[in-house]
Amino acid sequence: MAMPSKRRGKAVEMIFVYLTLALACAVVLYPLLWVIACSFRVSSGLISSSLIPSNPTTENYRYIFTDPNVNFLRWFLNTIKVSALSSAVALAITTPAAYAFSRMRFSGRRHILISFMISQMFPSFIAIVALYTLLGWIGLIDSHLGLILLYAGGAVPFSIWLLKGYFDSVPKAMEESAMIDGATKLQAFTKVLLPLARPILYVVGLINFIGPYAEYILAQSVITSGAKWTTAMGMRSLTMSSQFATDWPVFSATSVLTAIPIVIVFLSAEKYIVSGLTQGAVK
Amino acid sequence: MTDTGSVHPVPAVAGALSAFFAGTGQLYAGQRRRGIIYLLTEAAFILTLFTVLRGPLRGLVTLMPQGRFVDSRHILIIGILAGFVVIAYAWFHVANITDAVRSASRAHAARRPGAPAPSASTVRKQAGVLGGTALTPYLYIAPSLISAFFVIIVPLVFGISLAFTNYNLYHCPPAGRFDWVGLTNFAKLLKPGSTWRSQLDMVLIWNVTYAVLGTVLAFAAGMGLALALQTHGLRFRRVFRMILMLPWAVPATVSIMVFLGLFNTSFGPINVLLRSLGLHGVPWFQQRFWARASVLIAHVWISTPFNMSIISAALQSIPEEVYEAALVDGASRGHVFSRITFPLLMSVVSPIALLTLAGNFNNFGIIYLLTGGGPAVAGSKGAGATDILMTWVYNLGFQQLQWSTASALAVLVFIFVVIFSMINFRLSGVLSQLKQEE
Repeated sequence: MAMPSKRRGKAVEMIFVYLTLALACAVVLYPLLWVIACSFRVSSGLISSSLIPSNPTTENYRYIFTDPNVNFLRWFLNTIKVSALSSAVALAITTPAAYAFSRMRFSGRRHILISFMISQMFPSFIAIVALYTLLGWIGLIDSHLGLILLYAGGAVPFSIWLLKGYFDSVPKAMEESAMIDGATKLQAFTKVLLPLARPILYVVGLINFIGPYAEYILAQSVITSGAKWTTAMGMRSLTMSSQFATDWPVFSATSVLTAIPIVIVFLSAEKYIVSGLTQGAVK
Repeated sequence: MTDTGSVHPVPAVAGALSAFFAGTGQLYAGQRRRGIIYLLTEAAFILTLFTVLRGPLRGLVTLMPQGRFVDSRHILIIGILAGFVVIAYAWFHVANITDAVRSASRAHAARRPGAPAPSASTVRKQAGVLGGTALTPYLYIAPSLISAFFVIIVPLVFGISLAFTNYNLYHCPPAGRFDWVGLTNFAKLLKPGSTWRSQLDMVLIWNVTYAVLGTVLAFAAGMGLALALQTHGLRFRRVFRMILMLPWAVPATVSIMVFLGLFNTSFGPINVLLRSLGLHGVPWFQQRFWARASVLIAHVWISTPFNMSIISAALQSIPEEVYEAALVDGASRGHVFSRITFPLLMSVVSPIALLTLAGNFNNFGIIYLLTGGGPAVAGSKGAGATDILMTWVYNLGFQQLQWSTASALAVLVFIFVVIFSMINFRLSGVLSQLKQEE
């Protein structure tokens, strides 16, 4: 007698679960599909809330690649260059540091780690005045190199914490046996630990790529000339324009093209990113 | 008692000598090479103190033009850099004193007949922070430390310093110059009954509301979805999960600007839809309530997937047997959730939830890009209805050039968040874990 009611209870629960998930998916997808639809709309036409444009056109995409004011390709290449180099520099400087914090004991270790954590809590744009001055002294205002240095330096504390957490979870035994076999500390680090830590290297590299990719505030205060703009700056200039409504389809096209590479990369590495970010918190 | 002839270095004397002048204690203890190196380092420092460092340090105290530095901001930064040299030197000096004491007591022990010769490893260990292989860790961290020093630490100290100056529109370099004014800015902000204070209170109340509501709503939504995805026998689980992760995958700057279009009062689809149903459009960015709602909606949309994936991971870490045991004992499903799943879940994710709360307190991007802090509030010092402290600080600084007030506010926020996070870290044991590791 209990069985059928239990089964019915389960069926009701499943319907509820599917409805919840479907509703959530609709909420997630609507803004995204709407922007994609807008990007295929005629620029001068009225913008509707429907997801299927009446006269689909690729005119907006052609426009953003050909119009001299919306030099999307330029912005995009600048963005890739800045993000990739920032990520590479950050990884190159923080991996050895994280190794030292994980495997060596030295005076100042704990204080440095804690200061890193605390420094992250200070509102960074108050620092922009100082950063601007320092960059000016070394002649790197309005240069990609200056921006890269800021991104890479700013990524140091977070990256070290993330890498150190992972290194801590890798048993020392393998490095020790390599060192007994005559490997130096540096070899134990590069030949034994780094290959084992590959997943977290991907994660930190990726996070430090995604961060600068759509960053706006620092980029806008360092870069001035239009030819050096990043995508975020270009897109912001479109939303600030007086013809926001008519420019919307053009803006949508830039949004779609900007988001697609990151979405693909993120979703394909999602498992690593989530485990990399949560392994410290969820044991 | 003591053997004849040779001098016995007394540790206290060695320490006192080195405290007076670095290296002398080491020479007294018979460490000639190290003593000379320390001595020369100290001499070189004193030389720079009276030549290269003199101007910058005086600049730091007076903020008056020094040589080729006339811009107050430049004088301040170069002064801060000089200050760090002095601090680094103080650290060396203290290390030098402990080193002298240690050398002397080691020499003392060694001269005693029958004392075992120190093994190679203890010598290396005792070489201290300044010598030998003990330098290795510092070589590994040097590149990170140097970049963090210039990109994070110096600008941070500079930002805090501005809070004690009168850097504003009327004292604005390069044309003008600013001075130290002590705690004036803090007094102005905190004085009960002043316009600044009432403004601060208004912003703070909304800031806390935003952080708490945003965190709780995104957490609840994330938990609901994580539980739904966890259901036994769910089909298309991977598809659902992938779709639900999209808001995290799309760069936040892009999503926020898309919301700018969605909420647009003339062409935004939400208002278009409402009007086509014969209803009034919602004044999204024009009215306090709706502007705040739009900020929260965008916030929850963007940050739910992060919460969802963390809660999913936590749920998977709860062993299956716990549920089975409870169900066998006849507990209802609601009971199992409220008595078992939820408490276990919270014990695992609460540190990260509190960390997101602290982060959301300063969640600048959404409000800056979506409402810009607006709509404006009559009779205010520039703070709008959706301004949180951070966006207000930004406007005060970049728009109104009230850098001193902006920095004082930033310092208040900083203190608040640091205290909150330290309590959180203490509770979750991050700090004691670091101590244990050593």
